Order: sequence, then C-alpha cells, then structure tokens
Amino acid sequence: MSVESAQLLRLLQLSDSALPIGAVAHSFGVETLAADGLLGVESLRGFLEDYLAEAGRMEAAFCRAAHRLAGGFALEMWIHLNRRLSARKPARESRAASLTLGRRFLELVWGLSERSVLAAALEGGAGHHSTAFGLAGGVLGFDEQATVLAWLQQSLTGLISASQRLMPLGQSQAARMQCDLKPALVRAAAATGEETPAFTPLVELASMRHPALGTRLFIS
Amino acid sequence: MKTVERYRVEGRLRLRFERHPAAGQTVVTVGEQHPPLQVIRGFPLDNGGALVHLHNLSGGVLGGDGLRVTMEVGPEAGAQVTSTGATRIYRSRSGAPAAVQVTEIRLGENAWMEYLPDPVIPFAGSRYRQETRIEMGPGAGLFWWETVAPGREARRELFDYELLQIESEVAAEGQPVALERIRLEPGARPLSSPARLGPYRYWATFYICRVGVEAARWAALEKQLEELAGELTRPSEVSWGVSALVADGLMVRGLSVKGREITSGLMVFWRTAKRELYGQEAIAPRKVY
Repeated sequence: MSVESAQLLRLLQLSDSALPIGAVAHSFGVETLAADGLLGVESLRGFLEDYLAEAGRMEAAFCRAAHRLAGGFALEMWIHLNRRLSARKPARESRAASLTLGRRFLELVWGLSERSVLAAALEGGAGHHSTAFGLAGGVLGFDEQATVLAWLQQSLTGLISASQRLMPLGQSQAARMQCDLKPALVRAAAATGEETPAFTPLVELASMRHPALGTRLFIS
Repeated sequence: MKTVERYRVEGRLRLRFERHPAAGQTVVTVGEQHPPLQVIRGFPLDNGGALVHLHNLSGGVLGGDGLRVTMEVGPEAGAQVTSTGATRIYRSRSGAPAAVQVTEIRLGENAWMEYLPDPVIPFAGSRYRQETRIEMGPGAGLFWWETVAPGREARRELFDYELLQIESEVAAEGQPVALERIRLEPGARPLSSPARLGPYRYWATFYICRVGVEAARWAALEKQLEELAGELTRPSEVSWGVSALVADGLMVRGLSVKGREITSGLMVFWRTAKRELYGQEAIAPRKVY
C-alpha cells in the first residue's frame, strides 16, 4: 500500500462519524429547534447550508489554524486558540460538548499514533473538536485543505444523523442532502483566520434552552 | 479588530469615572469630547455610582462617521451609562466607507459598569461597523446589554440594511470570556433562516459578569435565570436563553418579533442578577430627552 493510500485511509477513519468519541450523542441545539417546530424535513437542507456558512466557516477557520500549529507546536498558542474558540461559543452545553469531543478525539488519536504533540496538547488542557481534528491532521501529515474538508464532512454527517432521529428524514433523503451540500462544504472550508464571523443566535438559544426540554434524546 | 481610520466625521469621547475617597461617590471626568459625541454631566446615584448619558448630536450615526468612545472606571468606582435614544444608523452614501463606532471600556479592580444603551436601528441602505472591547480587572462587574432592531418597522423596513458588522470582546483579567464576530448582509444571506434568526426580528445580548465569582454561584444563577427565561418565552413570539460563559459571567440571549418584549425582558433578568450578585436593586437609568 502506498503512503498516500495509507494516509487517505487514516483520514477517512478519523472523519468517520462512527469514531468512538461520542459524537453521536450530540445535536448542538438541533433537538430544541425540532421540538419547537422551527426545523423540519422541509427546512433542514436550507438550515444546514446556512449553518455551514456561519458556524461551519468559523469552525473550519479554527480547524485550519490548529493544523498550522502542528509544525512548530507551542503549547501557549494551542491554549490561546482554544480559549478564543471557547469565548466564541456562548452556549455552555454546546461548548462543553465540543470540548468533550475534542478531548476524546485527542486521546483516541494519541492512543493510535503516540505522537508527543498530541500528548502535550492533552496535558495543556481543553481543546475543541475542530481544533483537535486540525492539530491531529497536521501532526499526522494530512493535507491542510483535506483535513478541513474532512472535519466539515464529519460535522455535517453528525448533524444529518441527529436530524434523522428527530424528524421523519429517510435514509435516501439524508444521503441526497449530504451529496447536495458538498459545494457548501467547500465554501465553508475556504474560511481562514480566528476573526471569521458567525451569526447563529437561534441555534445558540436553542442550545441554551436544551437542558429545559422535557424529553431529550441528546446530551446537547 | 480594525480601528477607526479616515472618516468624514471623527467624533471622540473619553470619560473617566473615579471614586472620590472621602465622599465615596463616583466622579466623572471628561478627558476629551469632540462632536458629535457629547456628555453633559454625571448624575450621582444612591449606590455611589454615577449616571452618564451619551449624546450623539447628529441624532444618529451618519454614513462615513468614525466615532470612538473610551471609558475608564477606576478601582471601586461605579458607572451607569446609557444613550439618549436609539442609535439610528443612517443610509450610507454610495461609495462611502461604512460608519464605524469603536467603544473601549476598562474596569479597574472592584469597579462596576452598567452599560445599557437603547437599541441599534440600522436604516435601509446603511453600512455600519461596531467594535466594543471591555476589559475587566479583578473583582470588576459588568451589566451590558445590546439590542439590534431589524430597521424602521413603522416604515416597513425589515433587514433592508446593506451591512451590519458587530465585533464584541469581553475579557476578564486579560482572558477572553466572550467574543462575537458578526457580519450581516441580509441581501446576500437572509436572516430568516432557522440557522440565524428564524421567525424573529430583534435580537438582544445581555452580559452579566463579575470577575472572581466562583463557578458554582454562576451555575446557581444560570438555573435561576433559566427559570425566568422559560416563563418569559412564548415560542414564535419571544424566546430567551441563559448560559454560563467560559468564566466570570453569564450571557442572556433574547430573540423577539417585537422590540418592546426585549426591553421588558432585559429588565427582569437585570433585576434578578443584580440582586444576586450585588444585593442591590437595579434602577433603570433616568432618561433625558
């Protein structure tokens, strides 16, 4: 097997939504939106496209920034990056979910690769899922753009999968949606810089209100 | 964040609030004021703070304006700052740079500020960028709300502005606790998407901070305010949520179809939070018109 093939397979494995880090337990506010009747099968595609254009771009920019840290890793830069991303996430539940997934992701990749940078990042404290993914991608030598696209792809897959459990969205419809949104993923992946804007107040508010839902399938 | 560069009008206002050691009252000093920004005087408050009204003599922000407000609250001093009315953002001339307002606030040790401006109303065709940076020292407290309207509703202007850019930073002892980077171009990216505002038109953000207050106390206050949020929420009309920030504070988020429900809701959260954090009643700023 060529080096390129092995790298592709590693990236596909880490971006598989079935990766055992617990992502399947989170909806990041989608559960509340569905419960409030603000999101259904008809509006889901447009919602996901706009979500990618806002939160997707922001996370992509941080994922890319983390990838760039891998070369000359400095712990203080890692901490700084994640602090700023935490401050960009006002909803406690979604922020905590992102940090939990980030820690589990780093632990898993550290266990598989034993790269010292990942151990240092884990010891240095909290990392978000997008930044953990970006850093791991850089450390493992994945192409920067491919890493960002893979992050977005698994994030979208997770949201669609959560939506399938919350509304009558069939498997074929879900697959079509995922396919149709590829251009939106590419657009989101073009974002660079920590200052990338994002405006998702209804989703944030939904995440804030999630703990008060009477019945919940998801942790967030 | 960018800074104010070359603009048609360059308004400046620099205020310092200091606690008078003998009287125990906060005294306001105007370091610089350049039209259209102006402060007439500071009014003493019963809790030792000082109330100041920020005037914009133009009646609003005009296309091409560059405005900078700097406020420093010294150790143990208190400031309540409000506007004299809604911040109206006028239509920008073709080709003119976006109007810019930069506000920088520094709160010293155990200082507090209640920064309670009226809503921002971006008119049709306006382009506006607002930057707000607030740095809190040890023990400092902040109540800061901001409401953004969809436009002049009475004239059926709904999201007819060209650009609204809002950049906000709240930091505690040098560490960011809240960062917002918003860039809205409703013509290109509709705000009615459920990923953005959905059925709502107004949005409000209310930061409630006090540096050094332990996480358990924030968790308790979050729960208390969550119950209020639940009582005030009427789906598809007005919705409220509360969340603890990374540290040292909470954010209250409100979305509403009508503006007046935002104003009354913010007052409810403010009263409760002030009682819990300071053991004081929240007194709405007297208005001068």
